Amino acid sequence: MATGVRGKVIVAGFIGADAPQEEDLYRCVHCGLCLNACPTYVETGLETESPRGRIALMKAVFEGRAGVEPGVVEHWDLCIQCRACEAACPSGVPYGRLIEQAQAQMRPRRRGLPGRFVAWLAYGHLLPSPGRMRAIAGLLRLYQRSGLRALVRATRVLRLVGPLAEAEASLPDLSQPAFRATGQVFPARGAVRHRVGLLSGCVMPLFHGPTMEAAVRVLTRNGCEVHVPASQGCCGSLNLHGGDMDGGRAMARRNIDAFLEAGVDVVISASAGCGATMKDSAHLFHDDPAYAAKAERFGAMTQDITEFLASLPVDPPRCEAEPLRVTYQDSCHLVHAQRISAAPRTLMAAVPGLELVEMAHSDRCCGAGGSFQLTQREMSGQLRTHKLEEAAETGAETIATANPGCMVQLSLGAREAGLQVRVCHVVDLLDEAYRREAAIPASQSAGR
Amino acid sequence: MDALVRELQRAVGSRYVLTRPQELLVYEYDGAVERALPGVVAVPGSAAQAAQVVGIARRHGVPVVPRGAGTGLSGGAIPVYGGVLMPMTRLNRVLEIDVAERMAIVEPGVVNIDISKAAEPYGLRYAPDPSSQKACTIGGNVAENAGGPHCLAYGVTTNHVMGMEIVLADGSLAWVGGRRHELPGYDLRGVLIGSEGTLAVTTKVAVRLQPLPEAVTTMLAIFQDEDDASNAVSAIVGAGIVPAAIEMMDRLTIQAVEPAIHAGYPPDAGAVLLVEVEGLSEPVAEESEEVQQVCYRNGATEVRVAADPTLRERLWAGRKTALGALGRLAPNYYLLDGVVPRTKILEALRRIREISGEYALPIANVFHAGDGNLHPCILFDERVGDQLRRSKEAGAAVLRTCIDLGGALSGEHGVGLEKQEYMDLCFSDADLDAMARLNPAFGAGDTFNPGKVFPTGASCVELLQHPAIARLGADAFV
Amino acid sequence: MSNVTAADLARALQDAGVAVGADTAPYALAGVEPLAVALPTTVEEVSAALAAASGFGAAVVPWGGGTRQGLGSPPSSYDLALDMRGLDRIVAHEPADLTVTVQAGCTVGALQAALKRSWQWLPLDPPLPGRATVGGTLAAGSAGPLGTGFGLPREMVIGMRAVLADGTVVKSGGNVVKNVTGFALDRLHVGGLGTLGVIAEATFKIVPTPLKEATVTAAFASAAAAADASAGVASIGLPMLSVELLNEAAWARATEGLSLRPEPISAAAVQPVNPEAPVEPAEERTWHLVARVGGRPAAVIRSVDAWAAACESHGATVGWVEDAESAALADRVADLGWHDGPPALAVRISVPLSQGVDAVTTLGDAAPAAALSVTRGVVRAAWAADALPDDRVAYLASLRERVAALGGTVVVESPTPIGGVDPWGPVGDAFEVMRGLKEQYDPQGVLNPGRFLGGL
Repeated sequence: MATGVRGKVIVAGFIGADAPQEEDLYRCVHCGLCLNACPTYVETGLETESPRGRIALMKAVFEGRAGVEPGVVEHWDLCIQCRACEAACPSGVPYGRLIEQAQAQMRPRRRGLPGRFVAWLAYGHLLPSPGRMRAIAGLLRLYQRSGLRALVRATRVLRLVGPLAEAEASLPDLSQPAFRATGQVFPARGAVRHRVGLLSGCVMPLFHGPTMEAAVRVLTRNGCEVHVPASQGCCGSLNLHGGDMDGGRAMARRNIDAFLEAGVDVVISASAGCGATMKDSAHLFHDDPAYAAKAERFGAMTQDITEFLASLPVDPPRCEAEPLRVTYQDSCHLVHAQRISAAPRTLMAAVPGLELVEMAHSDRCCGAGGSFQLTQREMSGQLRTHKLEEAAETGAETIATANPGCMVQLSLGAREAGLQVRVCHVVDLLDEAYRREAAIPASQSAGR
Repeated sequence: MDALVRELQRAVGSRYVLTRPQELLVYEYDGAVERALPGVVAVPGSAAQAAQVVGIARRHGVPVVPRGAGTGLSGGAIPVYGGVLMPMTRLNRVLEIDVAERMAIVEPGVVNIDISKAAEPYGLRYAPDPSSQKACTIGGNVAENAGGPHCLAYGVTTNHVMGMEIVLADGSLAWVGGRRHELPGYDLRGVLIGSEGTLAVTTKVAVRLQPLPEAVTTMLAIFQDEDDASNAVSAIVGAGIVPAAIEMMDRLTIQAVEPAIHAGYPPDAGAVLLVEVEGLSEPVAEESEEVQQVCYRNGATEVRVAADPTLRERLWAGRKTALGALGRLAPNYYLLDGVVPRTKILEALRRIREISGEYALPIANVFHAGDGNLHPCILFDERVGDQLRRSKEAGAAVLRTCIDLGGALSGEHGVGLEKQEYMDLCFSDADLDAMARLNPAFGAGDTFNPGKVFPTGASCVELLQHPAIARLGADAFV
Repeated sequence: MSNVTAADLARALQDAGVAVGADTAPYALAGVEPLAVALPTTVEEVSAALAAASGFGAAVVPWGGGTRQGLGSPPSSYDLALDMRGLDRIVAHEPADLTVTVQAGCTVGALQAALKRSWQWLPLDPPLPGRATVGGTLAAGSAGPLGTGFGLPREMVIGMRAVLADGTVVKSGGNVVKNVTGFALDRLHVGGLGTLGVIAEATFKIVPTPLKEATVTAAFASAAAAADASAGVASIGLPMLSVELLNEAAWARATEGLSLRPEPISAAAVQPVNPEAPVEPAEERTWHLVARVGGRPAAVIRSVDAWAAACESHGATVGWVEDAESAALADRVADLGWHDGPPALAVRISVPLSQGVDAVTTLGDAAPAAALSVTRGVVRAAWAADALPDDRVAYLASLRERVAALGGTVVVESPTPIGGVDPWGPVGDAFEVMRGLKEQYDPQGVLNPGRFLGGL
């Protein structure tokens, strides 16, 4: 069906099997209860940048009243996929699924060479390959350490290329050592209570190596034998969020196989974004007879590290109380996608001396949103600025969160705002407390 | 049109003027069923800009339709005659919380619950709490004179708004009411609240805040049927207890809510009452005891009592999201807002059951029982046969029932597009004429939200079949 | 102005089936008697009377008990007194619905007496409730001390039948406590002084009578100390009915002939009192806080304790009364200045409530009886005929200036007009809309012409 819009003939309606489904779309009764949960709506005050508006646009495409075209896709693009709206929705609209599917519609039609090149490079060649990711990270680390960065920044040469300067500025600090434990099994301290598999993934070990090591130490300290299967890679969530459904599925299959073959009871992710995708595996493979059952089992086995530890429950650190004022940013993919908000707080409450001061709107997105940081710089920056303002109001010296993207975004925001505040993962705080226990010398760290 | 758009762009900035057909699509609806496309959307960033937008629209002879969050349930924000749709959502600052005066001055786009959140550190709150309070704006609340569960004890929006800054049709800004409790002159504030955006646009609101209660107890009373629950409502009020809220949900609603919220409502219950008492701890303890006794005397099978905030919130969560949850039972619903004297609830529910049978459509009831404010929700699927027509006819029958029982068409949602053709059930031509004279008194003309509230003369059922779409013609669909 | 004669008017009324009164003298306003008095007994007769009068373009002044006829300017013309007291029926009272519909001419006192039989009441407390009618109280629009607990009279009205100048009967609202069907025209008539229509019937939401009530009385050395004491208590959500701060003159009138127990209610509050200590001379205690609470006994006892403790901690001497005595004191406080009929001069000041103390003290010694409604920022003051300020015009002009500096307004109420003093003061924002309302609803200027704000 072809429909005329401003004289231009465009294709109306959705195409392909991964298109937004009628039954999902019409679950939305446009009651509007999602609006105030949506960070981009709150930021702009525009219905076009709201979940209800985006669904209305999907319905319009579905009904042939609009095409997958400018004026439609830019509003889907501006969605961070934080899924706060899903938690607010009383009708159970699977918004996360709808927006992923809508964005997948955009992919083949996306105009503009640079965008297509970035997608081709990232989704097609970097994320699927841990080796290439390591190589890129190595180059960037070299860039940051060698003095080249200082030179580049001093000469402001990147200003000539506009956005590149901003991209460079938003790079995470790669001075920390990477996590290279893939393929290892870490023994439990004391009796083995659980055999767990740990997702190493793509970005986390490169950007947040010390956090991965902390995760291993906290798990082993709590009676877990930790397996880090060698054949695993990126979970595929970035591809899926970006609309590369087939690429994402291929990567998910690899990890499903890797963890099911490892013979573990639980699969643990310290990255909320990955965990959310892994838990939803069943839906991803619902029409794939070869993987449907495996995916369902894999999804059911997956737990976020905070969820798992809080459910044990953790052995409280037996160390001196050290005063620490912490505020917690709910990672969207933990609080909204996985509906976990109490567990990380429970863990922090176990840390002697830690005082948790809640910030306003702790469950509102910080603007990270995976590649959103790169593709929607302005909106991402606005959200980041407001987030840091609210965090600063608590007077906390540490911002804890539960997802690598959030950690990068918050660190960048703190740097921008000139705040003397540390950003870390919840398990980092727990790990530090354990390491203050006399029984565990700091030298006995995992993964080295 | 181009000159209009250019002027609007100059007034509010081009980013906040939407003209692309795809973008107008997302402003064609609100929380109800009616739809119509605006000609252009202009989103002001200040009261002065809002006044400019009104002035520009007036000069170009096109109407201005103010809009809050678009959660309304009577079509109040639907631009039936096109023109300039003016969302007030960017005006979302709490300008002032005056603890000594126990009031706040807020912009109209502030979300209802955010007023209470801002006031909470001072031990204060804004009492009216529509079920959509997490999304709806105070400007919309003022336009519709919104209610909510806790209006039983505390009254509706008009009882809590001290004054507003408004834009009149000539583009001038003025305050009506204000900081003080008594002002000489006519109560313009009072007639504007609930005038559904047809007389002026609100740009600031002065609201009264009240102290947070010292103690709150929520009770969930489970009944085998609606009759017992209805009798319990009359008995509670008759016993001289005025709880903060008495809410009822019937079997169908319970079945929709429970899978969505897991509030712990028993799936086999015929009806539940949610009763909340609050105030000083001593009377709250006594009253909650008495409410429980009254419920048991009227056939409650179980009464759960929650004083802990988390558990109370869970009992409430099901109620506050019930409407959205009904979306799980059928693709479409037609939500009514009729009111009956609270002693007539039992009879009203019986007649609604008969109407449900007669039109072969399920009707769920989730409502503010303490005020007699019914929310019959007719479930249907517009794609199936003549269900849409039947739903409208059933709705008309329900509204007639409410009027027959001495009630009213709308308790809190407003008349808007949805109920305008039923106004003559309540009011004579002389009454309606007297109401219509407010328009020239405010010099409003056709400037603000035309085509609402008053009957147009079309037959009810005919009009309610997407009147706006019919009027706009096929070209409206891009 | 109409050229109608008394005979024409009387005949037209009689033709329309409306009884005509024989004596016009009691209806004199500012020394002017009307040509005729209409005595309708039904809404239809009110309609007929207004239709007849407006047919001549005759100016009509609606009358209730006459207790508030001092409000507003004298009418610019005055042909017919429309005495509403013949419409005195309670039309419907459904106790379990907590609603009552009453005709406008019923006195507030008679209505309360009827409701009391169902242990309910309408929390309206105009002065002289035995004379003040429901319609007149609504038309005047202001609250007595009960405004603290229940707001302005307009908050209680859920439905109304009013008769427009041409006799059209207009309904708004209904019988249900929550209703947004149609525009709230009743809001125009409450406080509209009968200038847009005559209230014929009103439906109210009513409340259960408190199971118990009590009033704490506390004597303070300064108004500011009293306000400080109440600010702390008012924020904790006690079931307050009223909180009035009376000057010595008001206190003397209110308590004349009443026996008030001096001792505090609770042991806790008694603590600071030492029988050996010299009692401070009462003359220095010039401000009396009268805080009335009502509700369940446990809540009342706790409220009295809280008030007593707060007042004592601010250096006050505290006493209390309960139930019938409390209610009797409340009646006196509500009557302030109206004990024997309308006072020679009265003012109502409304300021932001933080300015209340300044407003009540700015009255100076010129006010024999004054009360501040502490949580509302409303001051009532009344002068007896023998105690009027020497130069009323200068005094009121200066008062208005001082109150304006506090961000407030002064409304002057006087049965005899004071030349050079506009009883309402300056018109505020949106006066053009008010003028528009008068043009729409009473284009001939039949109803109470010239009496309202800005000469409407």
